[in-house]
Amino acid sequence: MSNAITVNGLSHAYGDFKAIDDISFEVAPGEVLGFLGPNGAGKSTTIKVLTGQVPLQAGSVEILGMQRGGDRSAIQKRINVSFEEKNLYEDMTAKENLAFFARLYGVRDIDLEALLRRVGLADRMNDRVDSYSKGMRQRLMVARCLVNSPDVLFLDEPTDGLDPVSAKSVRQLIHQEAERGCAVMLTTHDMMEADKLSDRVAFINSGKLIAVDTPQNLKQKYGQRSVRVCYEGDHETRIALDDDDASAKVADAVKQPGLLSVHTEEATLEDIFVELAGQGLS
Amino acid sequence: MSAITAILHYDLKRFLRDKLMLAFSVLVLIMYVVIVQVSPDDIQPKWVFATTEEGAELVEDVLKRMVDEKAGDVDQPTIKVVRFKTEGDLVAAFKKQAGIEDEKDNKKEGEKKDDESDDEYFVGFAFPADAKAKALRGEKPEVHLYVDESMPRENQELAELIGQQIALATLSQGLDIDETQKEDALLGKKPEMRSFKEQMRSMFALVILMMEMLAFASLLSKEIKSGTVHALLTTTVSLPTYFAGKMIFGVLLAFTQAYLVSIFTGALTPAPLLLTAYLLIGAVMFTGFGIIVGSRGHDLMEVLMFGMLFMLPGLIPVVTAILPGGDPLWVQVLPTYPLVQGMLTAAESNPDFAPGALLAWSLAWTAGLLLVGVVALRRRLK
Repeated sequence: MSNAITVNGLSHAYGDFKAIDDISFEVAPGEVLGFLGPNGAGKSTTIKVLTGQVPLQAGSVEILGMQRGGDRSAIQKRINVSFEEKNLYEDMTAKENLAFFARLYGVRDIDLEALLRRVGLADRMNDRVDSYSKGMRQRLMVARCLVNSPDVLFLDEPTDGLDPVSAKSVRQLIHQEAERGCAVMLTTHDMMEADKLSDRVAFINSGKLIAVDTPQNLKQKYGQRSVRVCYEGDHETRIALDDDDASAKVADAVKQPGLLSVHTEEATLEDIFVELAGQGLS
Repeated sequence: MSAITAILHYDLKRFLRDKLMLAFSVLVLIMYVVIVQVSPDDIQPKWVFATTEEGAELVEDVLKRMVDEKAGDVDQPTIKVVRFKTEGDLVAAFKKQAGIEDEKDNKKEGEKKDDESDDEYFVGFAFPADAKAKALRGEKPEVHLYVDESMPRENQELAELIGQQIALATLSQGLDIDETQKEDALLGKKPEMRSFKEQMRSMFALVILMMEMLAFASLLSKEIKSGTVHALLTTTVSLPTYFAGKMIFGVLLAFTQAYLVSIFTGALTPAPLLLTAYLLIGAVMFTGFGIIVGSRGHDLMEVLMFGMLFMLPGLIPVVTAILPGGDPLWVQVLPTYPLVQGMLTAAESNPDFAPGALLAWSLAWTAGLLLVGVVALRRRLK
């Protein structure tokens, strides 16, 4: 099966400043790719080029088999974007917001109430958006990007501002879309979120892609696995599992008197990013 | 096309929900209708004919005949004849126009009220002492005609016509003068003698266009500030389609209201097609202004502030057109100048008027403003 998104040697500059520098990656249909990096790393510019908000300067972008720079409308019809800023029409109701965007995509036979029910807004669908809470707006943003049943979805901080229950329902929704075959490109600062949602993650820093792999592979490849053994008297010891004699060390540790608990530990995506980029995400 | 229709549909919805702008629009429409209705129907200028003793009877006879012939058809205009002994006295009085002594009203010099002088037109005829004798001998006496240069151009022409009529009566010689036109003019019925209401009709339509410019700019500014424009531009809507949708909405919003109210008030009656064309050009021009204002303004206050920067200079040609005297060069270079002149001239129903130059001039400004608007919006969106 061909990729939903194929990016090759993509570069983009604002004047002398190179925002993205020769990056390449791909996203398969039904895959969720977490696109991670600190502010100013080039995430937004990449998304802008991919979604057609800024023109392609160098490299190639293929979306659903169509080259970016060719028939714009044919691509836009099959993708959708959820922005970090809650750019909704505040003076319109939730239903009107969705109906407007559905019309722009040429979608006529859509059950907007059912779509709003999926994000838990059906009972408020006729209320103006300016009466909505931040979380409700975020859920409406997610609903809006589903009006055209896209084959490629770009989500920027989709669970930002959501309470745990709402965040979980949005995550479920993203998984449902991926199961349907929709390729999802997710940008977020939340590493836990990326870890839970992404099939693969891509790290970008200073305009360059520094790693693309599954979270598990990245952790195995770059992270330190360890066992933490806690004893009475606030005493603990850490044993790196990648050491040659790790098994023997763990066996010895659990035989020591005053044993309280044994914990396995693995590196987080943030740890790995710090290791690879030499800086944190914030 | 369906994207543009959708933009028009939802922009209209948003406009109708913007209570402030809607109230503003309704207020302007009401003001327009009220002002047009309460404005005086006709101009009744008071003419003060100053003459030397030698020709006084002649002037009075000519004026009386002209008024009598039309007295049954129209309101009697106010005409006063003031006699002076010499041309020197007449000239001195002419120079102190506001202080002309009215013998019949027994007013003293300088006592005349300001409100009376505002709409009084002073015309002086100075006959030489031997005017009658010369006329009897078949010679042409030299009659000096004094006309205030600040008097509206059409009234200066009228004064000259009256002078010629007097010359005709004096010399008993036929001159190439259209009598009907001349008398109509005296009685306020000449086409050029347009009433304040008639002038206001088309001019207030321009004010409606300006108000709608603000409403349109406010909608555009909100869309940019909230970022919804970026959401729009990631759909199938391209930048040219977005520009087209906004322009069409701006033009329709302004034109529809101005056009309907103009029909209701009869402002288009003198030249329906030409005035409609000017209204349409005006709607496009102010949409161009609206795009510039909407692109620059980040909130309602900024929109109003930038809007005023365009509205106030835009109104100057309207004011100078209504006031007597010519328009200075700096007024003539304002974008609204050809539009205002075109609408005023079209409303005069002058068969000799060729609208081509003013239309082309207006169109050139309109195209330029739209271009600047599109560039400003494009820059803002980047």
